[in-house]
This record gives sequence, structure tokens and C-alpha cells, in this order.
Amino acid sequence: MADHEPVRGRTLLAYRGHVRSKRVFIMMLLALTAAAVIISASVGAVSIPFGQVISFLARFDRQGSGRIIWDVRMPRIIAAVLVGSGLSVSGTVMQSVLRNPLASPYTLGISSAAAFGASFAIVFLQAGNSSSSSIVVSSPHIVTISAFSFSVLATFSVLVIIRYTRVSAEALVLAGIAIGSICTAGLTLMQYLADSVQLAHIVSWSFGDLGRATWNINLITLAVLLPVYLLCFLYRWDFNAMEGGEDSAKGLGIRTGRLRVAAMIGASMVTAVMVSFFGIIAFIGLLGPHITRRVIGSDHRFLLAASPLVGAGILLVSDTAARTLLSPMVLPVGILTSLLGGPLFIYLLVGRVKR
Amino acid sequence: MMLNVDGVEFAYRSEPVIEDISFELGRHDILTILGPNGAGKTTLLKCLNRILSPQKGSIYIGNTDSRNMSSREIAREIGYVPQQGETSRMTVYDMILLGRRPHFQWTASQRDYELAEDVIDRMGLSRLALRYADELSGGEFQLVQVARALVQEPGIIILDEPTNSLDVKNQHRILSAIQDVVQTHSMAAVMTVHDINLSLRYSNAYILMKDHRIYAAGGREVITPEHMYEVYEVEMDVEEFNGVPLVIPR
Repeated sequence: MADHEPVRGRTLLAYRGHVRSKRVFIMMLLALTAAAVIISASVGAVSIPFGQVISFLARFDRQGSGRIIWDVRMPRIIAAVLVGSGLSVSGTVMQSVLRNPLASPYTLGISSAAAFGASFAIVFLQAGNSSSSSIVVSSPHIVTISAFSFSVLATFSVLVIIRYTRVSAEALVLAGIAIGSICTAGLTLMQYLADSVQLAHIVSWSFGDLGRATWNINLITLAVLLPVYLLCFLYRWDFNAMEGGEDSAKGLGIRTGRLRVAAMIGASMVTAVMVSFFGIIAFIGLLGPHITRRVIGSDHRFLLAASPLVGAGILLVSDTAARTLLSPMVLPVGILTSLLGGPLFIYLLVGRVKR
Repeated sequence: MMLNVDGVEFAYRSEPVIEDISFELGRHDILTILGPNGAGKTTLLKCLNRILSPQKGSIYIGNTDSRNMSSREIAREIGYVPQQGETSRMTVYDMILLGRRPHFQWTASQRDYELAEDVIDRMGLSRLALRYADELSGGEFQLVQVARALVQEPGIIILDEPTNSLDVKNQHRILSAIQDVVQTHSMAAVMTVHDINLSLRYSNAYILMKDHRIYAAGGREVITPEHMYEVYEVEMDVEEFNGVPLVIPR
């Protein structure tokens, strides 16, 4: 029973303080992300002092070093921010609606399916321009639509597996590996059938690389990510209700079936666009949400605001490291995120086995 | 009548789980559904607020056929405490606040926050309000689930094994809290409990289920050695103790 007679308003007051600390955390993340953007824009083959970076950015100045910042570094930086937040949001909502902490676009094989769809479009739908010597995707829309179609196919396989078999979290990830390996087989077949230019393009999908970023690509990515994100945020209370389990959410009047399908389609749409432009970037969908949950919990009102920032920060820092650590060699960032995410994944698995 | 169940049937892949279930629930009633494992008790509870949709029969909530109600409208009338709620990294306050979900469209109002606070204080949970649900003990978590159902301000509350895996103190704490709100707010409750004697202390109406059907229904008078043997296949004596029947397995 209560240790003391509760004073009306005191519990709410304490709660408000608790909420405020979550808001402060999100503000700090925003500031850190902004700092990471400035640092990332200043380092590289030509190093530009922070002060200058800020002034070039603030004045939209494309003269001199401004050209390097605006035309070379910023497209890549913005791509890192968009892809990092997109994958992180996708992972967050997948984990919520599937009630599975191991769910993410990568672990469920959805990224692989999107990569296969993209390569399929390059080889069979003439979406890749093989006459030029450089790697050019002549019709990004076809590549993206094909990537989306296949990722939705993978998503529905996941949903069907859940619907008819009540699998455990681990078993679902095994199913994801199976889906992923089927898609990888398809990807290998595409490589076999492709000509040399197509081949170079397809191979680059197996590891994620932000080097292909342009302002146009970023705009398309944002155009898909923003509406999906806003819809997820609008339904943040329903994602919260899912935290208590399926029956509990239904008891609160949530139509869980609809929410699950809608969230999974939204998440695979975002994944498809990111994969078709930048390839498979592994584990951001796990790293972002899990780090955020540890700090501010699973309340999606704050989780959905903070986890994209964490994902964006991780990918931006990783990408900056990837292009500067072994300079002048530029590593694909996918290699680094796998190095970071692999151990986390094992940690999550071990934690579940212990329980 | 708060709830009127008539001829309800639910089958899972043409395998009947409950058949021909009919009963009524009035204000201030606390109805316990008794029966062995697999008799269909949990399925029956889930049919009442349409977590499962029965294939036959009708359920009237108040005067409305529940088939004509949206899931949110039903959630405003019926609070539900599942047998196995999942814990998560949500604070107790946030979990209880979710009980207001059926009442708002996009975001909780000041009043929703205050109602959550009232119930938290009333249930003696203020001390735990900012604790994460996955750090609670079994009894505390169960209380939080009941609190969330109460914040829904329902007329009826459904509880599936609310005392499961709780110690004696917490069993009584949960059930007397339920008894208290049912009386003070003119509500009704339907629950399943395995401990027959516990239910005899707190409820006034009983349904005995056997082989997916209602075997007997009524007040305490249905708790007889004959019925107990028919339903559970265990010989039991029923003695009177302080005016309350007491079931003792032989």
C-alpha cells in the first residue's frame, strides 16, 4: 500500500520532470548531430576550419571551399543523416509491431530483397545504362519500384510466417536469414547474367556506400521518408499500446493487424528507397533503436524522435570515419556498420538466451 | 443489464473452443468463470470484448450489439487485463496513461494525465510511477495492468487470471481493489481464477465450464460437491466457514 498519503498533483509533477529530462536528451542529440555535420564537413582530403564551414553553410556560399562543402561533402552528409534516421525508424516500428527486439530491415532479409529487386531492374528492365563506362542508373524510379516490390514480397513472407506459425523472436530471424539467402542467391544470379558495368553496380549493392549521394537522390529519399515518418509519429500511441503485447493492445481498441501491415509496408518502402540508392547498410535499424531504448525507454512519443537522431549520428560518424581513416582510400560505410552492429546483435541474442 | 451474451460460439479451424454460451451480467456483479484447463475460459473472455470474433451468437454491451461497435467504442466500455501482459521499457505512468487511448484521437489531454494520476494514487502506485515496467515484481505489474484497465473508465472489467503467480497478500490486494471499484463505480467484472476459494470470497456469480460449454451457472449455490466432481473430476467437500462456502479437495 501507499507509504504516505499522496498529495494531489505530486505524481504528475514528478512525471513532468521525468518527461522534461527526455526532452533535454533529444535536444542534446540534435546538438550532437549538428556538431557531427559540421565536423564531417570540415574533414577530408582538404581540411576546412570549423568557422569557415559554419559560415559557408550559413551563407549557402558555393565559392572556393564552399564548392567542396556544398557539392562534394554535404550531399553525402545529408544522405548519411537521412539513411541513418530512415533505417532507425524502420527498425523501431518493426520491433514494436512484430514484438521482436531482433527485428530490423536487415535481420528480416528485407534489405537483401530490396537489393535483389534493384539488381533485377538493372539487368532485366534496362534501368541501368550499360553503354556508358561509368555506373549510371538511367531510371532510378524503375530501380526503386522494383526494389520496393521485392521488399514488400519479403515483408509479406515475414507477416505470413508470423500469422500462421507463432514463431519465437529467434526463429523469425532465422526465417529472415533464409529470405536473405534466397535473395542473395538471386543477386548472385543477376551478377552472373550482368555485363561488366552492370556487374560493378550490382556488386556495390552487397555493401552499402553513401558515395553515390547527390542532392537529387537525397530529395527523393526525403520525399519517401518524411511522410512515412510523420505517419509513424501520428500513431505513436498505438505503438506504445503494442508494447504491452497483442491482446493488451486489442483490449485498448487498437486494430493491431492493420497497424502491423501498415507499419511494415511503410518501413519496407523506406528500406527499399535507401537500399536502391545506397545498397545494404547493415544493423543501423538495430543500433539506433536499442541504444535509444536503453537511455529513454520505449515510449514512442520520445523514442520515435530520438532513435532517428541516434541512427543518423551513428551513420554519419561511421561514414566520416570510413572516408577519412584510410585516406585517400574511401571505405564503403556498410563495412563499418557491420563491424559495429555484429557484436550488438550477438549481445542481444546472448541476453535473450540468458533469460 | 450491462452485458448480455446469447448463444456464443467460437471455433478455431472448425475445432469448437466454446459452444452455446449464454449469460447476463448486471451492475455490481463479479462473475467468476471456473473450469479445468482447456475448458475455453480465456477464449470466452476474449470473445466478450471482441479480441476474438465469435462465429455465432450475439453479445450486447448495454443495449448495443457489439458487432455494431468499433474496437475503440468497445474499449471505452470494457477494460481488459490479459493473462500474460508483456513488460517493456515504459514507465508505470505511461503504461497506465495508455488506458486513456480509447478516449482520445491523436494525443492525451490534461484531463487524461490527471485521471491517470488519480488511479495511480488510489491504487497506491505513486511510489512506482516513474519505474520502468520491466523492473517491477509480478504483483506490482499485475496492479499496473488493473490500474490501466480502470483508467479506461469502463463499465465492465475483464480479468484473465489476475492472481496468477501472485503471493497470498497480492492476490487479496488485487481482488479487493477490484471489488472496491466495482462497488463504488457501479461496474461489473468477469474473471477467471483457478483458486475456487479465492473466488468464493470475492465474487457473487459463477459459471462452471466443462468441455467448451456452460455446465452450471448461478450464485454460490452452484458450488456443490457434485458439480465440482463433474467439472474437475476431483472429489471435493464443500463446507461453510464464516458464512462463505469453502471447497476442500478430499
